[in-house]
Amino acid sequence: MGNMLTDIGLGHYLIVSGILFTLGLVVVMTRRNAIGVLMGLEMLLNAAGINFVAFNRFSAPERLDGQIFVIFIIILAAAEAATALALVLNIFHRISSIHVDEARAMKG
Amino acid sequence: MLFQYAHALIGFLFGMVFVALQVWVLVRLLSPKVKEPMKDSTYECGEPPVGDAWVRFDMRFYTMALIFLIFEVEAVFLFPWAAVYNKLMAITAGKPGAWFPFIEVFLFVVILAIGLIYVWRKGDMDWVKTTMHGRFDDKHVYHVADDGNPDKKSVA
Amino acid sequence: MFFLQTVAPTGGVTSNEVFDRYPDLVSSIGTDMGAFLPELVLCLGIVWVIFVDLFSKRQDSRRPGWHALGVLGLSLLTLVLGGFPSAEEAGSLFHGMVVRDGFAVFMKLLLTIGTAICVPMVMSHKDLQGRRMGEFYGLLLGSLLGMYMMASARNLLMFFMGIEFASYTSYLLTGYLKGDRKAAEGGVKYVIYGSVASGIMVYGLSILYGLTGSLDVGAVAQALIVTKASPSLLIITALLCFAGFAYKISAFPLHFWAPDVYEGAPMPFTAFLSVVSKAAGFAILIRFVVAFGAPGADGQALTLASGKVLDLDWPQILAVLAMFTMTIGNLAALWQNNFKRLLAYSSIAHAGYLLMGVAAVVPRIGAEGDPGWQPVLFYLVVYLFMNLGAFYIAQIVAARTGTEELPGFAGLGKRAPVLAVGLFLFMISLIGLPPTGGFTGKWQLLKAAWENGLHTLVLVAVTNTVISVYYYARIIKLMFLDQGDGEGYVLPVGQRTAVVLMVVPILWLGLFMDSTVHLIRSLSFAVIG
Repeated sequence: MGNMLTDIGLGHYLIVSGILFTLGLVVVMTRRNAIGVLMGLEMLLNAAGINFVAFNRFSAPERLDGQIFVIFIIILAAAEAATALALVLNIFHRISSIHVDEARAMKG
Repeated sequence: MLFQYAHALIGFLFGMVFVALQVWVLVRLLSPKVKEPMKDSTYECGEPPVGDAWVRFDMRFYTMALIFLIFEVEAVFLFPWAAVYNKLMAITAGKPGAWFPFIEVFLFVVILAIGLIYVWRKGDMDWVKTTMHGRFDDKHVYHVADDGNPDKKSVA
Repeated sequence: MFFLQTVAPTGGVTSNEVFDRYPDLVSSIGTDMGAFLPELVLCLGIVWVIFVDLFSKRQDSRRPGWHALGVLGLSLLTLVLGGFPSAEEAGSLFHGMVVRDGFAVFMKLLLTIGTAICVPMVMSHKDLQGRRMGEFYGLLLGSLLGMYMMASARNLLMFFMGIEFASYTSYLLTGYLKGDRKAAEGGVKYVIYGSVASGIMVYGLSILYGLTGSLDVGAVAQALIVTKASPSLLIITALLCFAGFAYKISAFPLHFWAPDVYEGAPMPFTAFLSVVSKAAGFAILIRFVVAFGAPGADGQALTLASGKVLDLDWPQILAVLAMFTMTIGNLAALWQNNFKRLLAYSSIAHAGYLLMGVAAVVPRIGAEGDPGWQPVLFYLVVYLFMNLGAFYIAQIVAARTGTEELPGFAGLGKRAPVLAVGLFLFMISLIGLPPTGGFTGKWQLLKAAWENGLHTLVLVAVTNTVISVYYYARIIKLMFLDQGDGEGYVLPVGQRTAVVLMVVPILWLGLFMDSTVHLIRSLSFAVIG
């Protein structure tokens, strides 16, 4: 058995991604600021990205599926940020606030 | 082999517990409870913040950033393609669809270029697009002009 | 720390090896393009519609609409000319990225028709007049393209891409009315809830990939049969993945975005979301479930049906979700006064009924013969016409009265009998009473659930139908029994024809359902795996 601190294995990557995913979830659930929520969202996506690359290297190195998936995650994250920012700017112009819980014109 | 996939579960649970510990338990246990107004200041180090942290960026930067996105996306996809391009061309040489590797990416770039043309045509590439024509007077006060009304708003 | 000691395999893959493995890498793509024609038409159409609007001298908000209809017609034509692939022809395109089978073609037809009905609604919507609409139609067609991908995906990457493509365009269309506060709010809520749901889903997909080493849904399902992964991990993974689908079909527990988004979005797009988007969500859910139910390569027990893999009774879990979804939808609908919001909760309830059909079929997937998707698909067809019809009439009424609240419908029976009778039939159909398609559709769903042993679910569904009578009948009462102000008006011929065109399929499906049922039964499912 090697040294846990120097031989980086799959488990290390998964722990990092697990932490990142949970942090993302906590941010998404607790932040009131729409931009903050979007940051949490990027964490969720990037946690999945780390998983894909790590699994590609350790579990299925004969194909590059996981790495290609990550490229698409990057692209979609960029598109998502653009879409979401446009909508957040739109509501900012309407109610001069980007706090999610102040968007409450509709109820019921 | 029994624990072959334990990584994923343990990684996930470890992440959950780690963050929960940090956010809800460790903070409560370790942080000293001091209630005074200075604790609420931005840096908590005696350095009073100057101005508002919420700097207003000009909307035009935002549009430019979005246009930049087009090229960023282009690069991310072109890089892996370029890495295998020679091999692909060697393999497809002489077969039907020999130019496929090239045409494929050409179409990709064309579609992105269409996006660029759209933005251009819509006028989002023009840096000066607003109706504001401000000027500084001799007391260094900036006057924002709206619809030809020079002193409607003034910003120090 | 045993779990940290996985040493990376040395070597890895070189691109030469990849090319050796696929000698027909390029030539097969050329032949596959022929079967991909509807998608290609849409791709070109998106660019075309935007550019027609951009380079036209006159600002005419209707003109790109006609072009969009043309694109949809062309896409429909290529779909019809391509025909339904038989069981022998069914297979996959582009090295296993996309499925070609009868189910995919059927869903694409359904989605295209739904979108084509929404386009005239957009063209006649009064808030969408007088502005350049090329972008709107471009995004609408883009959303449809994403849904095509959802209907025919067989690779986890395509699943993800399809869902995201359909979603992003939907976010933008929801917030399209820039000056409108409700639209702005609806857009922000949609983008935040939707992205979080898909972020959670993609994390689930990544674990699925790690467990099986493949992105192909069939290979994933096969690998899960023999996996040694712990059941708790598999349950977590399944729940994470389900988040994406549940949000797309607005099923419990991810239904809460629907009312606000439906209310905020412009009426034609609300109609699109409630019908077309939901149909695509069910298409991808069915595709996923079918793949996981395929029999193992060496005749091992069925994946989902046996409950061996995930150690859970999946039909019961889906049944419970269906119960919650329909009950929450129906109970919340009782208090609504806004027509769009009412139909939003109604559409959540209908997602519950459809989920009941999925739950009923799950035990039979992978067995010999027809698995029995027919009730779900039939109900989707009926739901398409009745819900779009209701929205269409509501839009005409809202344009006349200037309000989307329910009192605007008061006295409609006197003012505009054609509209009132049309809406009456759609409401009857939404309740599920004869002689409409809503009755035959719901009857088949209930029957399938009963035959597969989900008796409690059937009882809950019938109770829910009774509850739903209250709020649908409230609209009928408003139209025919209450006095409304406002003068009577004569409908333009176009609108009258449109209403009749929507009513006919509802009655047809209610009275002569055999031909449609037969068509759906004959659809081929590509065997994935």
